[in-house]
Amino acid sequence: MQRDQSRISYGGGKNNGLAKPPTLGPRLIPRSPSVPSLHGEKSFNSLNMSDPVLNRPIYKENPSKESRISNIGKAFLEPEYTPDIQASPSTIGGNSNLSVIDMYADDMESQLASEESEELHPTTINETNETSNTSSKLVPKFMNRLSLSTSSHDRNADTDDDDDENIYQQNQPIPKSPRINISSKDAEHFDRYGFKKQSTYITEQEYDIWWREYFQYCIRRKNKWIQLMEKNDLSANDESVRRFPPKSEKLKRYVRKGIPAEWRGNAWWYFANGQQLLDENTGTYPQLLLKIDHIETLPDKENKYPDLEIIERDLNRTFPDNIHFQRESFQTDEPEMIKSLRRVLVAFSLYNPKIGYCQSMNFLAGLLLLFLDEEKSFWMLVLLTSKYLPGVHNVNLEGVNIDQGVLMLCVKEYLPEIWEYIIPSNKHNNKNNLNKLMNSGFSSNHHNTRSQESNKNEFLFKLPPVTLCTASWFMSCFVGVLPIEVSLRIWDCLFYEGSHFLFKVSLGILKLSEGELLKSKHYDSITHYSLNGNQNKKSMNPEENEMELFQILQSFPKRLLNPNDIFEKIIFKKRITFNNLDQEEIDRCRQYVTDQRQKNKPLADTKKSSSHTNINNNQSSDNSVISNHSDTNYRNNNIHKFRSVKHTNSSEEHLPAGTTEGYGFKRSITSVNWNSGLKQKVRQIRGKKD
Amino acid sequence: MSTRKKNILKVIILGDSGVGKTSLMHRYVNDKYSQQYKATIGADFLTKEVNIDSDKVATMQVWDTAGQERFQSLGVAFYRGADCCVLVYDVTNTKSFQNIKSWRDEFLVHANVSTPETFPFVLLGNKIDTDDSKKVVTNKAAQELAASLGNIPLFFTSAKTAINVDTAFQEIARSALQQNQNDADSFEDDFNDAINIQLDNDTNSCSC
Repeated sequence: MQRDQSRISYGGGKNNGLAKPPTLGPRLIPRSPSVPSLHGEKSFNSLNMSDPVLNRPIYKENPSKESRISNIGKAFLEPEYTPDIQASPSTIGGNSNLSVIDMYADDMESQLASEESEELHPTTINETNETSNTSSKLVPKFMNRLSLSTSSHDRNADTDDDDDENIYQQNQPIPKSPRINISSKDAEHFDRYGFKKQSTYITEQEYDIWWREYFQYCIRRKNKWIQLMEKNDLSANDESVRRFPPKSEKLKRYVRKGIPAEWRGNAWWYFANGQQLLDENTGTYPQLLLKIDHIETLPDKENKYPDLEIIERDLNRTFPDNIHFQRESFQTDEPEMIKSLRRVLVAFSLYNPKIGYCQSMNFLAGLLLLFLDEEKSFWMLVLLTSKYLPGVHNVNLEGVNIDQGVLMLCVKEYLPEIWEYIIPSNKHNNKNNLNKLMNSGFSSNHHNTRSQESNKNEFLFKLPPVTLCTASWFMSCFVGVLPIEVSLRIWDCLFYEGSHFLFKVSLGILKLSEGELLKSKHYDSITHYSLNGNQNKKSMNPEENEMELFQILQSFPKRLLNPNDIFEKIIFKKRITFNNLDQEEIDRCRQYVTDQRQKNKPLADTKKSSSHTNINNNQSSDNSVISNHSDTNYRNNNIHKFRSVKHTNSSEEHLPAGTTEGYGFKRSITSVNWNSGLKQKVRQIRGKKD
Repeated sequence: MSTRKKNILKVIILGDSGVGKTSLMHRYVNDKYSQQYKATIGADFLTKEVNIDSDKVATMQVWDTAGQERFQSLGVAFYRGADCCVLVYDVTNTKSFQNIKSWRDEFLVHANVSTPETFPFVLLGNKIDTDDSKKVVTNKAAQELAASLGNIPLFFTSAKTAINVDTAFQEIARSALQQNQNDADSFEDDFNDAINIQLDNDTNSCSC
């Protein structure tokens, strides 16, 4: 039915079978719980959460505020909103670690939503277009800065949009001047999860402008979800959403468009099959906590458990920008969230000594804790480090190396132009090759001993430096790599679809980076032309090319504020070849890279045999814990794969050509047969083995 | 050959987790300090144009690394081609000081430098802004260590208050430039050998 995920017909009941009109009036607006009572705990207002910052006396009776704040600001400071905030001190309990978030800031939601229903008249429209149009109207400058899509540039060039821009600027909703008082100011500076809106790469204003539109998208999506749940006779009440419909193509699509934030924790838990793991290990976490208590009493604990010290150092370096993780200057006790984070990480290091504690797990656990209670967070961390990212956090990080090898293969296959930056082909420019050799420094002596085949696959065991950047994407599942709302959307898909999704996202980011590269390349060709004396656009030496890519990759994803810029425009675009990448492929690819690395172990740079045996033991022990889950997951993924292939074929022809235009590059995307390519490789390897 | 690296000086900062590598890099490159740095995963780099001895200009590429030991296995790829290695410890953390030597050895193994005896290292004792009562590594011990590592330059720094950061990085830039030039000279020889090998491979792999 659905022709294309990037073109969703909105509110038109024909797809979901519900004939509800696409109104966004108050009646349909899901009122998010003041707190995700996801954990069956006492409610508290999200904006207060565990941090008293926001509880200080309020902006309630400021007479001047009306005149000083418009739209968004007003919504934040709506009078009826105030009592919640004021009531908060009493609601902050010792278990605030379980809290989170009023996902839509309640009243603001209904208020803005009703506004929207008047001004946006959401008839059946292509959702992407609607989104982009709205965004380009609202945020032309922002979009320009992002430069993610020339299509938005085009729209910005529209005279109508220019008019809108002017109107918008007149109604500048976020005053830059100091606010009325601290509390209101603070409340506004944080997003619905307690993260500071502003980052090095995004201003608060940009955030607010984007959010104003995105949260309307969230509301629309949630309405859709509610309909889906009701159709499946499942509770859609925020307080009691525990179960979800059986996996289906439709559900997958829904997940890809974002799980409602209030349901996220439970949805992840459900899709990852966490409950089964917990049921099989009842009592394990409490026992681990007892063990932690015991360890705390040991005089030489630091020596005996070296991970403790590293965990300790990372607790306050996990989400320093999130109010749940911040200690206020007047607080003597550390935030509950920090305590929970410590317990989960220490418990994990005891539970799985083969992994112990690996930096980046703090980000995983930290994010889980914002959505799930401590015990569930713990088991989700177990699942993440075993099922989704096997070996990635092991002592020798071999899993990272394998996944990076897989990613490099994918890049080579699907994004040859990016690959050119990483490992330039020799045929165009022999000079590149010489440079490469030079820049690989004194490793050149290795070349003597390497076989032809080793050289060909050298990048699998001698990973290119750019993998240092991409490795962090996998280790932390994009937490901190991308803005939080984007990361969450990725987690939705990760738990529903499996780890191959991380590769898809990575390829999506790399694809997006191409636009950035071209920009800087253009700049570069002007500035370095004379230096090189070479007209070839790839005349810079390979190391510089790769560093340029590295530099772009380490910063530009952080500006990628809008999830749909990467989701709908790249990852799920039907004409993107890597759209077909599925779990089976990735699993096979992982096996291939593992074999390759094993085979070339003596030549690989960093082998420590002692730690290498660890990984194997560890993986097998992990697998035994979760084998059931893996099986189910695997099956499901196969089903999805099958469906998704069918889906692709049927939808492709409807798609107008050139929908991917607008990212500064144009590339014919023909069907690359990844399967046969890989098979061929495997056959070659086997042949050589024999 | 003269534009081989366009005078890009590659500097690697190593040291235990939490000693302040990220802070030092940001202080030097952006002259900023924040309490809110997150733990570094993998590695990042920033670049800065530097003037050395007021007559030479270069681009310094400062690499910030993850401090946890297991991340060393990822780092090897970018150790290579480094022009200077900055070893950082935290003056309030004995262990980070004791590990300096192993960081250096680790670097030498992976960077595969031609002349380990002369490769430039710089030792930084960071966080000297902290209260004296918290300082556990004495200056004397630090000086002895610096001497034992081949009389390498030692600076006591604070990324937080910017003490000595610029001074230290001036020295780092100078050492790096020196190394870069030495390297380029000695590279010529190696380079000639390597060409043949690579050309052989070319003829086999290039099917166009």
